[in-house]
Amino acid sequence: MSVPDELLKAYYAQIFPCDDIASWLSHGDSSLFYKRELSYNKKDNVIRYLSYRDGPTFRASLVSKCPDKIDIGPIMSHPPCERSSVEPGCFVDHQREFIMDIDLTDYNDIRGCCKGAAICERCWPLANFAVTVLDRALREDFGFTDILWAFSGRRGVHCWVCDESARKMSNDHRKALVDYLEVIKGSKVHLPPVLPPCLQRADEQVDNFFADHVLPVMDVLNNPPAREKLLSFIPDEELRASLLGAWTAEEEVTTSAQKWEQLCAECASPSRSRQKWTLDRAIRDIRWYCCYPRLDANVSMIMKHLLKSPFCVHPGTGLVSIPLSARHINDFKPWLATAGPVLTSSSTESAGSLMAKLAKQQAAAPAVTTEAAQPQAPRRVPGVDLPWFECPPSIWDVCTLTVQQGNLPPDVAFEQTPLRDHIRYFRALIARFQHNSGFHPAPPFDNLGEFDEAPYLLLHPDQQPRETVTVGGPALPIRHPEEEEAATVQAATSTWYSKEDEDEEDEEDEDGDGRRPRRTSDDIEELELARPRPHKVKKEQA
Amino acid sequence: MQLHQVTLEENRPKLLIAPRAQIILSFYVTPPQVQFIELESFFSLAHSRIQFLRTIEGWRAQKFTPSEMDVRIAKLEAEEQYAPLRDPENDLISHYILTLAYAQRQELRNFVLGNELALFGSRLRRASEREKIRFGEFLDASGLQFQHPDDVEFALISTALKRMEEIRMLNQGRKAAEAPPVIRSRYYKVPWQQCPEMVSRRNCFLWRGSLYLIQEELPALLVPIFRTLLSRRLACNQRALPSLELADDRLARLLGSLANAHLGNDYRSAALIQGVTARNIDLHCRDSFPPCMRRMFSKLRETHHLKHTGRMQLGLFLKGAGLSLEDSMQVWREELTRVVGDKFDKEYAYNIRHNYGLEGKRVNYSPYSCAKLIPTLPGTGEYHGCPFRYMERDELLEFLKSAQCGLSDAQAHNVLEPLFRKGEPKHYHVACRAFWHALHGADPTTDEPIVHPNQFFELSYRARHDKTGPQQQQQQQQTGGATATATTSGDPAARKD
Ligand code: SF4
Ligand SMILES: [Zn+2]
Repeated sequence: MSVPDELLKAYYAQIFPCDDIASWLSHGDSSLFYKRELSYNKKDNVIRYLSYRDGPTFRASLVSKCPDKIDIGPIMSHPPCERSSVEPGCFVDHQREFIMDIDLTDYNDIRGCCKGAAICERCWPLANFAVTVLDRALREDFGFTDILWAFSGRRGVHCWVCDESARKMSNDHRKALVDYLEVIKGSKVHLPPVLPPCLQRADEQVDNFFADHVLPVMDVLNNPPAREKLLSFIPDEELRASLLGAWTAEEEVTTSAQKWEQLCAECASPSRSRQKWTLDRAIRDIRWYCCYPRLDANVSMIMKHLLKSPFCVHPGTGLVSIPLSARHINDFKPWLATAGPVLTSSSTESAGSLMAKLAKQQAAAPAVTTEAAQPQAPRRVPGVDLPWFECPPSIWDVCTLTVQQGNLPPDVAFEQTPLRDHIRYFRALIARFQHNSGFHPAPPFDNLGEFDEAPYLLLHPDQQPRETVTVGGPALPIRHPEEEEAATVQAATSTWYSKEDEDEEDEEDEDGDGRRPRRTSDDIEELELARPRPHKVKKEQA
Repeated sequence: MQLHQVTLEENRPKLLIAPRAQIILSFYVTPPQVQFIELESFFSLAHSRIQFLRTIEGWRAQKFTPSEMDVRIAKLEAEEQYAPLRDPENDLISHYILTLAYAQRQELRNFVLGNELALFGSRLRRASEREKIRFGEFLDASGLQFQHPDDVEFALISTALKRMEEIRMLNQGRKAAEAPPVIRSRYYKVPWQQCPEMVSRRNCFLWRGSLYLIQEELPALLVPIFRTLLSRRLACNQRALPSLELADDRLARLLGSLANAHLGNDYRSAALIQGVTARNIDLHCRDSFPPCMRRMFSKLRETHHLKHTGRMQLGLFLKGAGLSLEDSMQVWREELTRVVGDKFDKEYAYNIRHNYGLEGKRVNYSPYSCAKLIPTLPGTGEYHGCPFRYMERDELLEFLKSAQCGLSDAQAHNVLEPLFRKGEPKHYHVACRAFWHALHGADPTTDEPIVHPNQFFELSYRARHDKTGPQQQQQQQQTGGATATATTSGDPAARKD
């Protein structure tokens, strides 16, 4: 399915938040937006090295070129559109947000439910979990604060770390950061024998997600290809074969959780006590392999890489790349999204000629993109029938509800659409990023003038500037009869930042010592285990 | 001497010497405070340091491990000829002169940067290993101020730090319980960007953008800092040098000669070697050419042709070996005209004069070093590059035993041994040195590794020259032309008698 040009044009003209994107990408210095490389995709053509002075000119070009996809590149030394007048070799990348790309296709060997671009409620939580884990590492370990997560439009999420120190990182720094975050490389799990605090924290998250989702919902151990892959982590040939045989025999009889228990029990049996050390590690590796985020490292390591803009419409699904909140990520359920025109009775009646035309065009097209969105499923529009942050609206949802009202100016039109709250949230985020960057403390190596690149040091929690930004605009009007639900949403939005701030503080104290009380005994066990045999392990590895 | 003119750094205390170990550790941020220095000692200090760094460069090319490197450098520092450099003041002066003299050209800047860095790294490792310097003092003295974590945050992270300590113990094969207590003053808080390697390896606690390093880990941090400081200083000097040279032309000449000559080791001209002529060049080839040049030269004789890269490499080598322009012309004309005929005078002669700096940009080109030769791989019908690099084992054996090299079977195997050690990279220089040994039946008089075909030649030339005495050499050369083709196989060491 492709999105009709008329619809895109209307979207770019009235709703796409050009000014906000421009303000976000300029990070407080409006001249930077002009130096930012943008790139458009139209069918199979790519137009690179575009740049625009400000939001309105950006919008004008979008309306006239009507691209299917908008990509964002680095801030260059010179405006990319003027690059032909720059001496070759002088046109180089200057700054770039640290970006990450998580794509569910990278998890194909453990998700049996969907193939290719499809997603469902069984596999999507993997992406949500990746957001949870990475967001925490970026904030706690690296001290980044200005992190934007976005739905990619189909089967993944993107991350934009916008802190000044992140933008100014060299490729070496980016590589170090990726090395730090990456554990699963080329279908192997790279973990040290004893986990340092940062991995211990992730281990705890992995543990919970594995027990709460991977076993009961994904049912990995009843998925033959995944099962085989996972069992290959077990070094003991005989154990592996016996488990595989037993599990294939009782395919659907026992649940994954039961099979897992059986595996753990086998590994812990006294007859295998001599292998306990390696078997424990194998069990740990299996858990991590099922859960831990799989990054596309190349995207993150090279500044020049392009990444799709938020609020872009995915040409394949018609879904909008909305910004996400890591804190509320578990409520994000893109598999509920439906594409295709909305043809409720009321909207059909009042729809203008454009919508009628679109409806006709779309009647032939399949109205389903994701598995769960079966035709018979009741149609629900985020922001209308669903809390806005739960699900990405499709361009049809977005435009039907506006276009009926004629040509509204862009800063008003979005208020009428299911994108309203997403755009407000995005605005608030940007405001917060800019507020944060106004509070950079002086570089700690003031006395070492040589370090231009000296990064700033985060202030101590007590000195950290307090959040003062709240969601802009008046209280949201409640538009849905189910008042309660909408009210919750509103409450969540308006208290978003102050709440987040308090939470962060609690969380930091808790994480400050690197572990929660619940884990302490386990930790000790692990250390105990490690103590007598470090040499032996090394030998085994060799 | 107006050294202060080019120093753009502020005054800062800079030295800390571990007295017993005699390890000088310095960021060299303060220029030397000398009012007067004799040109003589200026030159000899610079000379020593260049020699010193050249030796290190050779070792670096052989890819020694850090600890092997440390042993060698420590030994080198103790050598008598480098005694003056053991004085901190001289160490500083010589370092400064080098950063001045070598600032102008990219390759020289890289030479200084790479080798000074290796030297600093080695000194740092040795100093910290023996715990003979107190880092706090060194850091304070160098103007780097690392913070200790404050009480509040330390309380938050001390459990995690404890765990890191325990892991460190376990990695050393000790018990977790042996981990030292976590004390605030032992830790330094450093922005993670300063040491990306540590972040990659996750072997240090990272929290809110700061690495919490213990003292023992600080060396890893100082090397990148040293690199930054030094490359900045070189860049500054590069910009400042022209004005400095205007101010004092005596100094300018000296610095210029230091930079240009690369102390004679770029083999642009062979002042030391006399008597290499078109007539006796085959004899020299048999006695003293390194394998790469043997191959090219004998192919030239055999096929009367060489492709462009080969002509470049061999031509410049011959120039560096002391062949005059006229003789060079003679050699090339003799061979090439047989194949290309009249085209020689039109096209090829130009290139030869070009090599000698008589055409085009009029640059006196320097012969290629091994580092430049090794990566050039010959295509079909080409013979340039380093045979140790581009030939397979069997082909090499055949080559070494052929008339071109004339080694015995045992000698050839000896030469090849360093190339085909299991799990190790090919050690071209070691093999080349073994070849030298096979030719002479002894090691070269210096410990320097062979990094340049002309160096191979000069060492060989001098060894023969000294052994046989100038007169005998002369005689041998005169009669040599006739015997050169007669004795091409058998043990070349035996031939000398
Ligand atoms: S190591 Fe150097 S001198 Fe020896 S053969 Fe190779 S290139 Fe020639
Ligand atoms: Zn699925």
